[in-house]
Amino acid sequence: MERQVRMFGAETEYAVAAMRGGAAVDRELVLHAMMQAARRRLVHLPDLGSGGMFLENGSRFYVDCGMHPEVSSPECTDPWTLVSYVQAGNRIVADLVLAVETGELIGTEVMCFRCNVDYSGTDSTWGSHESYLHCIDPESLQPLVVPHIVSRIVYTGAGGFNPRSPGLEFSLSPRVAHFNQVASSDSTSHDRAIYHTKNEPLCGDGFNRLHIICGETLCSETAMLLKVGTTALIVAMADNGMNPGAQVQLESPLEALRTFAADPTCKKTVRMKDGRRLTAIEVQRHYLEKAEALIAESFMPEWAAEVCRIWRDVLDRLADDPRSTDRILDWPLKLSLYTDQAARLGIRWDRLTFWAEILNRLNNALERAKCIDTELPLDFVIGPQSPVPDEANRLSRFLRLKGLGWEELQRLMDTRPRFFEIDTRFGQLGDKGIFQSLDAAGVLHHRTRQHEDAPSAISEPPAAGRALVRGRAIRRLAAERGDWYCDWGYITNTTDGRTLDLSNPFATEEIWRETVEQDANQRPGRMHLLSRLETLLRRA
Amino acid sequence: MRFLVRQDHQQTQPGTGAAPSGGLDAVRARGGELLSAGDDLIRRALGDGNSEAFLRAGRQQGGE
Repeated sequence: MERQVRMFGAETEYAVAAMRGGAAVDRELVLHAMMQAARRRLVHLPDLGSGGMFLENGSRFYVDCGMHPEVSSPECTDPWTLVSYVQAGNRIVADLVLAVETGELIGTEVMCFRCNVDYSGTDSTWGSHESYLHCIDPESLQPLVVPHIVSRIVYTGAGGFNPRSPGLEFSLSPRVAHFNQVASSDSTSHDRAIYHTKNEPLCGDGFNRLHIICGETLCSETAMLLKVGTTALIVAMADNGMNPGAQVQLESPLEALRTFAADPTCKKTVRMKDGRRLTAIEVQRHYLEKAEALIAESFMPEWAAEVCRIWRDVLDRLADDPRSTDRILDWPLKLSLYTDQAARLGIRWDRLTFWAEILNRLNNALERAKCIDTELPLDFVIGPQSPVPDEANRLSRFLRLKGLGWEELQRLMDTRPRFFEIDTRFGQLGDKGIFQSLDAAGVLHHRTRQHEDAPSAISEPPAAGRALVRGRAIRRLAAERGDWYCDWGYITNTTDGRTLDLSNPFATEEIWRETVEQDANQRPGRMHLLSRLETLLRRA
Repeated sequence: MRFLVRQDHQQTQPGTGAAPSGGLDAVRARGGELLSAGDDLIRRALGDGNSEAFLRAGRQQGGE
């Protein structure tokens, strides 16, 4: 039986920091050095407009808005391959960091993190956007997938701390703090949403692209595989007339997202539109059972059964005891490590939420007293010169009644930066990365393949789809001295106008055109010239 | 509009995703092994550095 092919990809955003002689190095300098190293070391064609490049493995490497390096994977047709290309992207960036440290910026320590949120007080966040090709009306897709996106964080959450908490509160998915809409076309400002309504297909022929922006960069391969595999199955069902989310419509998706993110037990329920209350695992089981029931259908991809097997296994483990997945998934691993660290530092993990609430009360009092522009130390706020003496005294009495004292909160606040550094360094690329080191020590069980295949994914494109055509063409054209530029839907020569048409995502061979077509989505003509001008202006 | 069908079967070998087997004592021992390794690696990663200085140095002005 012939099976439908699904196509998807993922973007990974990296945070960068650099130190030299104990002082921070300007990030722009570091990114410039990384791009220089990339141009020198990687087989590529420049992209249009951003100063980045497309690589011979079909992926794209560039500096995105917000001044961070980013890798977009090539289009893949099974989740195992996508995981390989995400890992290949990590290796490429890690190698560039090493090249910069031993080349352009000798004596500088360059650090690249898969860290999702910034704990230094800014609202910065880095994500891992996903793209899924589909053919149905994008608006009709929203209700079908939102309950999945919300509840999947029980296995796709990166884990960490709520960056907006005044204290230290563990979150399955720390980026949740930055989402405040159910649906929005915005991706980079204060209106980030669970469902991204922007439909930018990046190809022709009537395809649409579901762009999920609320996901997180993960270290666990099993979590990565499940994130894209389960979502692709749900898109496949929706694309073929099914409505897999019909019976699990959430009454308040945002509230549900926040509830699930704050619950490491995975036992809390949220209200459905039909009045029932379900846990995230129960919502996930609903989608899983729909997928399992349709596995034999030709519209389900050939890898569906294997993804469902792993999906069921992980949900069973989470339902039994989430900690049983602490060698498999990101957030349970972080939870085990961080609770252990807390115990070693004399911090009561079970009282973190309580202390966060105490801090919230103090902050509210400070706000009422108009003390909102400066960060005041705790000992000053509760001391004899407190700007909010009534609240401080009230809370002191409350703590005494509970047999507690301010010293416990002070100890917690003293160790808070250490936990933030641990969480930032968890996904650091290279030997200092905590996850990478644990993996090398052989104590994790997150791998999705028995063998290491990242080396081939670094230089070889995927075996199917236009990424294969793109990658082979890049390798050949990069060796020429032509004025070639690449984008997702085409490769074009700006001197003679020859254009390789990649608008068909399932292209299997090179289709060349002598003249540039003026298509709404694929327009290398005037748009190309404007983009080129923009690049030149940026360089100037 | 339909997606093209895939002609060549390319089943990949999935990973284990499986936790090791054993009794409760064995599971506890392996849990201790994970936490012990984690503590060593966290100490190595952080060194004797100042976490507040680290966070200040890495303070991001952008992100997505």
